[in-house]
Amino acid sequence: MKKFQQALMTGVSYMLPLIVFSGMTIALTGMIAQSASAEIPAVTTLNGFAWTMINLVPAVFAAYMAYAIGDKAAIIPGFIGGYVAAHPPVEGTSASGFLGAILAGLIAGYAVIYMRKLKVPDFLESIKKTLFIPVLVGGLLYLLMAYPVALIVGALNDFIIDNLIALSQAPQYAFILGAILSAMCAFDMGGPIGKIAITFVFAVWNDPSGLGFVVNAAVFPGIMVPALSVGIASLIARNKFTKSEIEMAPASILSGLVGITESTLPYAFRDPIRVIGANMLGASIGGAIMMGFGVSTAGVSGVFGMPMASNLGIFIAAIAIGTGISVATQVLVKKPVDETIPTVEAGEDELDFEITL
Amino acid sequence: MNIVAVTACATGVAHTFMAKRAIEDAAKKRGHDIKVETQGATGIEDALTPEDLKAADILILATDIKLAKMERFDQVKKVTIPVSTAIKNANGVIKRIEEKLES
Repeated sequence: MKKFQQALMTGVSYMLPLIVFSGMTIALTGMIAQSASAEIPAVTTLNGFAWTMINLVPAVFAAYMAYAIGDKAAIIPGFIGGYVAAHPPVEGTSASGFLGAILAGLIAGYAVIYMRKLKVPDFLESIKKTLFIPVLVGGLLYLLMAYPVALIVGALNDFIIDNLIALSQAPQYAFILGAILSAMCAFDMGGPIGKIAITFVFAVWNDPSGLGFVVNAAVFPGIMVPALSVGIASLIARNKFTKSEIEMAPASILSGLVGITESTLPYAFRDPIRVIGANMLGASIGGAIMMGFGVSTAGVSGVFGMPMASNLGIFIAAIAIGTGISVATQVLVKKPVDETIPTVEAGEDELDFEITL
Repeated sequence: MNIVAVTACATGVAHTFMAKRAIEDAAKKRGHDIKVETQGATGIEDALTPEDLKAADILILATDIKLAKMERFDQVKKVTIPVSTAIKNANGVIKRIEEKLES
């Protein structure tokens, strides 16, 4: 399980720069195209290129997930599997998306481990490495991803996305989805739970219905509210925060503005239930407002999402209201600090490690 | 003791460097020599050299992802922990290592 989680995180880690490049390029070229009076061919071409790049995200993700499990030789089989997940080559099957890419990464990684262990006569050893592993494992990935996975997971993926689209188009329910996605991001501040929400956003990013940009806007409160509100709350209720927390406040507010949720962590570690609880409350209300009004944006990372927002007023209001609620909750429920109390330390079981060579 | 460490998180912007600072602070407070390599968003910084590794008594790997160039560490005594454990309780980690190495 730990290995699986580490592989997932490695995949996410290596695909992030590609998402940032593609997302920001799509956002910028979209903005320029909207404000220009006539079409600028170079901008349109760049926009198309950025879409090509974002469609490679599942392939890059699966490649590095496979790398985390099976090392160098697993990169290309993983890439092949991830590419097939996003571009189903067989007629009548559907893209299996991120779910498929995760499977591709796992299968490629373990298939390579198995192949490496496989005993072959000495004279075949080098051929095994240069020829058999790429051809056989790559071929295996193609077959598995193009047929069974594209059929089964592809259908499942269609089912999930169809329902989410239905949910997002029914305003009386859409706010629930927005609340959940934002609360997930606020829960662990850049950790694996929030990454699931973000992964979902990128999974539907290029859906023709435009759902991707709507759910993208819906996670903004989850990303921005926590760091903004701990910073603001610590400046308002100085007696309820430690000296170092108050010193960190400006940096934390700035981080919140540019979408770095992680700077909330020191505040959350010291007083997890009250800080995370307040943040999840504020973020989910912000997410509900954002999605309830159907606001969409193609921008990523904090204020950089604002210029692309379909309704700037509500976009800002959703984040401001979410932040306001979280700040108010923290000011109300947090206890005054006595600086002599030592900070919370990790449980004994977390220190249960072995020294190995 | 001579402690070396590598830190790496998924995004490679915040946790990686928070863990570095936590380990450095805790090691210095407990009177150890410390050097921490980070594998963040831009790659390896403050890389551990073969000399560092040869002189090291223990290597702490605080990571959520697969580390690059692991083959460097084959001959070094090491412990592997999640990044969050290093940030929350680097002091406890080092204390536990002291106990384990003594026994």
